[in-house]
Amino acid sequence: MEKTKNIRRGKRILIGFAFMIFISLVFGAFPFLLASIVCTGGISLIVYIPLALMLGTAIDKLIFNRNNKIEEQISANTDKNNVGSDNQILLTKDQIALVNYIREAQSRGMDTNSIFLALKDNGWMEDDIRKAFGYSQTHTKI
Amino acid sequence: MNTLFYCSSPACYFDKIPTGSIIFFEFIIVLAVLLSLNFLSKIEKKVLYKFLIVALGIFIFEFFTAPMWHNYHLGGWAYVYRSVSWVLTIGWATLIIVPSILIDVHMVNRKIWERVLAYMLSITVLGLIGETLVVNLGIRSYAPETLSVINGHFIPFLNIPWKAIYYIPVFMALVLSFYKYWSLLLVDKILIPPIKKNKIWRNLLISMLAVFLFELMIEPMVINAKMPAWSYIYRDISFIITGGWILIIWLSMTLVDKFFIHFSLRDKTMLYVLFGTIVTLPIESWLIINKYRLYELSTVENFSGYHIPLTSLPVEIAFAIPFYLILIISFIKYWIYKFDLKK
Repeated sequence: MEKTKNIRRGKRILIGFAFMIFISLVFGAFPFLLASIVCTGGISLIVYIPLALMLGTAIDKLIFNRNNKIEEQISANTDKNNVGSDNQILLTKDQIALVNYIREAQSRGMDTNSIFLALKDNGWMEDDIRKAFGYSQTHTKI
Repeated sequence: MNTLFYCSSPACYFDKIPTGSIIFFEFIIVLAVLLSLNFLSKIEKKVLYKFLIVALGIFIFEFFTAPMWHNYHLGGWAYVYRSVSWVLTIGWATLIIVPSILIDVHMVNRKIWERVLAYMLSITVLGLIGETLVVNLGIRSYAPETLSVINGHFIPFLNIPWKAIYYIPVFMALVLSFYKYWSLLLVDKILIPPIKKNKIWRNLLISMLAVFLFELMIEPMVINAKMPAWSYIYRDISFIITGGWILIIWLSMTLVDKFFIHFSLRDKTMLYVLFGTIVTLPIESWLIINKYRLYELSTVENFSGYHIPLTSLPVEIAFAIPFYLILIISFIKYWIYKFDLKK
């Protein structure tokens, strides 16, 4: 999972850099881009790499439509006549944030009650939290 | 005139020849860094990573404010860019990280305001000692614009300006917040719950404090001209321009928190900086073209002469803006985290 994440991040950085190089060629700023990396001994990469990652992530999401939505095909396992049909449940950003937090907290050994209280203390309704706990069990991340 | 590859201004041609006492001083700094890291590694985990974060914060700050002071006579080996020295960077980093970690370890059960007071007092005292040493060894001198702000008022016997008593804690507060924030994110990897409703007005107040403190400190580098006379708060700091920066930063953070709530805090921080930079760069360019923003001579002498295509922005400003935003936003986010933390 971590390896996949790192590979995806690496690809996004490459996409971002490719975009930056393309734009710099269009506007005749490529020598500047190159010089700003070489003449600073690579220190400018502290700015360029995060910028490339952000651009690459935006391009990845907008053009290739790979995003952080949690999508799950729930097979209608209660209905034998519905072979092949499926439902997709798309979560809102709020729900994704809650589910991601719950999963991460659980993987670090936090108990359900502590997670619940932490979210409640930060303004979330109990109903939203309970639903998020449910989604964290039924949905897989893509 | 400077170019990217050739620099003829005093910012590049200065006396780098060290004296014997300066060489010894640099040796002591490196030794102190090594001993401190060794000592701290026994009481704190991942000290080297934390040290690198502090050093990065110091370096960003020194890079950004290089025109305000000069560091001469350190030897050619000691310089990274213009008169920014890695030796002084790691020295300042040690002055910050040692008391910070000691206070965290020995005052762990104290209230946050007590720890903050301890940080600021200890780091200010050490910073004043450090500044006294570099000034009296002949390493540190001040740009003419900084001297005009200092106005000839120096602390007797120490030979450092009285205003250092203000500059050092503000500088240290920004770097300390940067270190604390990025340590939490990258080293300690704390898990922060998503926040349903941000306290936007409180966050605005924190943003105002952070930006105003920073603007006060870098005031000698820029001139804000042609603003209405009633808008000037202190020297040439205009609340119209400063207020504009505050709004841009605060809005960037508020909108990212709202529309990208599902992103990790690290990614959101990068987005804050990205959006802030995208909005700020054309505004800064417009201010420069229309002469609302002028840079002092010492600042201009540090420029390479290269400009961002399609704008009139010196490339140094294009780098300085995201660096400035990273420092400010780290300060703001750290204190938002502290205030939001439930015990």
